[in-house]
Amino acid sequence: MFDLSSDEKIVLKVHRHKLVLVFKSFFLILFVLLPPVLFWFGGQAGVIKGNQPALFLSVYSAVLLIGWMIFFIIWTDYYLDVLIVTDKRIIDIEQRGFFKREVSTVRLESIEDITINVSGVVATFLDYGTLKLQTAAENREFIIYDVPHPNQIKSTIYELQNKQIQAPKSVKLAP
Amino acid sequence: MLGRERRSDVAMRRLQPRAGVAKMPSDGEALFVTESRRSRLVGKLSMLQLPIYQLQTNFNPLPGLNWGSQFFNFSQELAWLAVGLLAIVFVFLSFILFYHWKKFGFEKMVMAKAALLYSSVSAALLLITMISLLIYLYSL
Repeated sequence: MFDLSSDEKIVLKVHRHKLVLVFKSFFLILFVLLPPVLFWFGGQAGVIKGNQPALFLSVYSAVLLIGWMIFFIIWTDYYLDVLIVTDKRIIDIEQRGFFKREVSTVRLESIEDITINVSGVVATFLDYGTLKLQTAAENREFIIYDVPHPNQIKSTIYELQNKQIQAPKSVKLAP
Repeated sequence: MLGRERRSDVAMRRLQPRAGVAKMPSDGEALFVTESRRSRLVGKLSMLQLPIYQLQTNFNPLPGLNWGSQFFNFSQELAWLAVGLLAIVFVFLSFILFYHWKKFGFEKMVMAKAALLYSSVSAALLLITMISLLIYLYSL
């Protein structure tokens, strides 16, 4: 996935806010509610023959299985999107579907500025937002969406950055 | 002559309805009286009679679900084919999911829990689908 150097330690591992997962999988409620409603109408119209409960159970469990599989696809996509903060760099992994994956890395010393954007009632109450890292690198902006507790993450990154700046650098002397 | 006129007058008077007197017509005047009165009575009755409510609509909100129709011939083979397809998709998707969880997953415990939950619930649902379909097809 990604390789850490021997003296590198993971400080923080952040997934997107759980509400993102809820929003993304909200349509799955149709898989739960629609089959009983359709069967009720079918029963009223008398178009279903034979053992009605058995047919209902068969179709309903098949629909639920499809919904369950879709939920796990969404969950995997959600879970594999992760922001990793180590004592040397920040790694943002973005899973786009099953077969597309983006891994962006920025070193702590190249971070110039961190901006937090919390917009909306829900985001304010549940404390999640967008984190923008301004860097000195070629790819100047590093954006991470829907991060929970962005202020804490910001302060952690600044703390690590300060530690790295203050730490004495080893100098190799030529023999 | 007078006698005839009198008799005809009497007959005419008999034909005219008298107020407050109910009278059955005699055999001679039966044809004329019944035809005219019947039409009037039928007219009056039809005006007095309450309309009989008859359901005009055939309540069938999902006519497309008529499985015996010419559009979709529901058969046992087709039902089993659908379930088989679902099982194949399930196996294929499980393989991809497990591969991703194993390769890119961070916390082993979370991945193990997810794998256990996903497998057990999916297997149970697939089993319920197959058993209930079997029961349904036997009931036909």
